[in-house]
Amino acid sequence: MSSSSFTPFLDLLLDPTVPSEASLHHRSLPLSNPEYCTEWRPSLEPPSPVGSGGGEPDLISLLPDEILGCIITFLPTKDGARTQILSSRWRPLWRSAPLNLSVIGTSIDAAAVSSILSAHAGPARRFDVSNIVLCSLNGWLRSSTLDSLQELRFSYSSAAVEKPQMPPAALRFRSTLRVVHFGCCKFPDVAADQLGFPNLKHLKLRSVTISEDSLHAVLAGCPALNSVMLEFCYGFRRLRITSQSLNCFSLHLYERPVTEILLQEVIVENAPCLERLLHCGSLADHGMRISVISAPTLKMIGRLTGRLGRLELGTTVFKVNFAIVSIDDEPML
Amino acid sequence: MAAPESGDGNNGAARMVTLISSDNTRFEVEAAAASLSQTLQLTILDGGGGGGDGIPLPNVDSATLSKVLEYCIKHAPAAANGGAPNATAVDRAELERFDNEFVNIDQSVLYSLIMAAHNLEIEGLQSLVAKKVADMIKGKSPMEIRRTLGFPDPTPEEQAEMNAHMLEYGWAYE
Repeated sequence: MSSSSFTPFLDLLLDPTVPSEASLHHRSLPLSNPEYCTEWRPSLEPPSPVGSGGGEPDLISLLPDEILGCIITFLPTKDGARTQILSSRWRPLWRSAPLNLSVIGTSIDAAAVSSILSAHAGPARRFDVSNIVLCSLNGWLRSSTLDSLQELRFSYSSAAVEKPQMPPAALRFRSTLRVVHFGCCKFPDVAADQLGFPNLKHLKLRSVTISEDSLHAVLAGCPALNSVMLEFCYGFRRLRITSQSLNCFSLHLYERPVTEILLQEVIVENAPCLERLLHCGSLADHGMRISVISAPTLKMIGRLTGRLGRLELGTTVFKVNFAIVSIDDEPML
Repeated sequence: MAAPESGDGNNGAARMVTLISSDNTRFEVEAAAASLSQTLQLTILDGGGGGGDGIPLPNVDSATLSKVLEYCIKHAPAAANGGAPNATAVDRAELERFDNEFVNIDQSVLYSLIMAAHNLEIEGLQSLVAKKVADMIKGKSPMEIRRTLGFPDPTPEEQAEMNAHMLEYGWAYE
């Protein structure tokens, strides 16, 4: 049996909704003594030992607020809000349980998002507002309900003629964010010290224009980063990857007559945990150069095409017109 | 992070600790498994729980503790390995299968587990059980949830409050 350290198993890669340890610090409620339950049962509701429907007794309402709040946070947004209707015991819980707001697959529109942010007291765990009208996004992001946000996802319309600027307020959650997905916008050019995300594990930018300096500042300012996905992102010619934590880096590009600056060179300078360096879509016409200087745990690189201009792995240089499909037996994504 | 077994000079054999439930049952378990509990990890790092001593857990009965330890023993190798990023797909699938079966239990046991996981600060188990309860609620109408969770039928006053709430939170019922 190994005796090394004990990182919590549940990882955001598997489940972005996992609550932080900060929300689960309550302790020392003895379970084995049923009389104890009466000490924290709100007086406004009498004990309800047995459901009249003849099912299980209502034991769940005996759990402390914090645990019920944790359960509510795991629920989809509408289901969570509807728990207020269950009983007077449950009524106040939703508005103080960490908010899990995701509009994906629901009928929640911009007006409903505003209603939710004014009804809920915060803090928030997840705010995912892709695929709705985002005129009010900057105002939403300023709401104190979203304090301590861990997961932020938004995407403007991909049909817009010109990409809007990303709202500056999105950067106010830098210290707590663990999962980020920004789509169809221009990343602001701000000072490098404004781009550190100390707890960020997963970063996805889709159709985002970002300068080389900003992208490198973000990568340098995320010491916990596990995966990065850049899909159809432009504005940088050269990408240098240096990260002590990064496990997976994936790039999606496609050829089209764009006026934006296209990526031409990827240099993996030092990435001791990098296992997967992936590319999807067709590479730009110019002939991409990829150099891997130090990535001792790299297991998978791909998909490479004949249009790759040059690939350097350590001191080994491959020139164009052949494709390396895989370095080991693992399937390509 | 420090290694719990460092310095005990007992190379090869895993270090064991003893946990004592509220009804005085003793459980001997590898320190690595018990250390999934943030609460116990501190005591174990300080060298507690070994030899003839045990760590008393006055808030956890033996049936619940047995179940908790089943979880910890299964998850300890992956946790020691740094968790999901280094685990293979097969390992992860096996743990997922175990987790699904593990929470396929009566509600009363589920709630005992959730309290124990909370008190012992076992993050993965807390999430697992809370998600299970969330799954019991998800997608159901308020009346279906009440029946599932064993709530009494609403009084006329409660019914009136429910109706008022549905008007106020119309977006949640569309």
